Amino acid sequence: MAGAKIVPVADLTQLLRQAQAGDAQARDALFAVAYPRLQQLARARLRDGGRNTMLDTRSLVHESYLRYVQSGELRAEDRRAFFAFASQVMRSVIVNSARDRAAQKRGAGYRPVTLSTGISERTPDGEEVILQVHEALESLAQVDARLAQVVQMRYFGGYSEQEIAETLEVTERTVQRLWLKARMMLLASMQG
Amino acid sequence: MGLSTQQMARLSELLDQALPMTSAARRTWLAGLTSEDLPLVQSLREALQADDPDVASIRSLDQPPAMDPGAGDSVATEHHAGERLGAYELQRPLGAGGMAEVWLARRADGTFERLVALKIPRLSHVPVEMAERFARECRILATLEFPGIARLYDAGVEANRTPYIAMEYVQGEPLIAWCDSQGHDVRPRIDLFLQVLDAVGYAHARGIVHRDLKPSNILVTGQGEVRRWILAWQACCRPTRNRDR
Repeated sequence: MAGAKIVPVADLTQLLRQAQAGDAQARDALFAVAYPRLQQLARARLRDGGRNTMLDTRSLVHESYLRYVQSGELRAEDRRAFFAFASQVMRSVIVNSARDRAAQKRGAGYRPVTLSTGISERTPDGEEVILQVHEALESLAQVDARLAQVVQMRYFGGYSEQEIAETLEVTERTVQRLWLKARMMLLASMQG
Repeated sequence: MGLSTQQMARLSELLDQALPMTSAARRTWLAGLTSEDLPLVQSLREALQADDPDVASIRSLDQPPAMDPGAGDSVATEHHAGERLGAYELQRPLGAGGMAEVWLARRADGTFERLVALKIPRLSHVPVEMAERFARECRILATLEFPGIARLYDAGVEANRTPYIAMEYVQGEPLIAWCDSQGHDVRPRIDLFLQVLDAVGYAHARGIVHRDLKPSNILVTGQGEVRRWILAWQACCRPTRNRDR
């Protein structure tokens, strides 16, 4: 986030509200504030958990929400807006990490052995899938922003269907329906 | 990759029509689609097949993505330095792919000092019965002894059913990269090619095929004289004498 303006953290609630109202500048500023902190948290968590941990993005978002509220930077009633926003940050953290890993694999110099066994050789590595989902999600967002929002919260944010339902103010049944359709669209886009 | 935004939008409309239908109704409906939707029919059919909670493809997105602290350090591995497998102690990862990891390891049972390249297939991808078979056939491969072939020292299955093979640790450069870095023209390349053929011929004469022979599997060592080709893991499983497959 080079070049982003330094924003006093106490403005988080204000920023969140402006961003929600569609203020793009507030959105960028919000991102600049929250991204490094969530990323830091994610990294710390991963270090504790050792390698190849499933990053529990959901509890991470909860934890950071509580921290923001406790430190008075965020009002509790902004929980919904924060959750919607935080899934976007988590997506960005995950996608950037996947890009780093993919670049590392390509640039890691010679690998003296070929490891193929012929068994499910076509299974892409984790980061390839992540990047594919990310790309497919970009086009999905142009077609149906709400479907894309569900994917972002479910896949990248790791939220439960109930949490997504609360955030979007719809029923859980609707979330399930949206999630099914979103997955179909993503898979079609990734395979097509 | 994939569908255009327009196609995605149309797919979305079509799914809205199809999702509430029964599967029988969907079949009739699919057959009745007009020609302008034909490019999407295959995607649509596959998408609708996924309307079953047990279908693997649709479930694949249910799990959050696996993460690695990565960014800045080495490749993601399931094993860790210091871990013992059989008589070997892992030192550092040499490479990791979707199917296997390769570690630089040293013999740690005090019998002798030797560095090996230890290949460890990811067991989650290997059926259990394969593990035993893998070890058995590796022993056959261990009989190969030729200057151009990386020696296979040992193979085994750790108590927790992790199979491993210990191979000669070859420090070299992949064939094409090496030729390019030396500025070789055709003649020296042909010389190398003939050396590879010698090694392949030797293995074939003993009833063993490589099954993944390619330039990146052939390493040229520092002296620029001895050439190794590395047996890919699947070669371990398929000596040609096994005519049952």
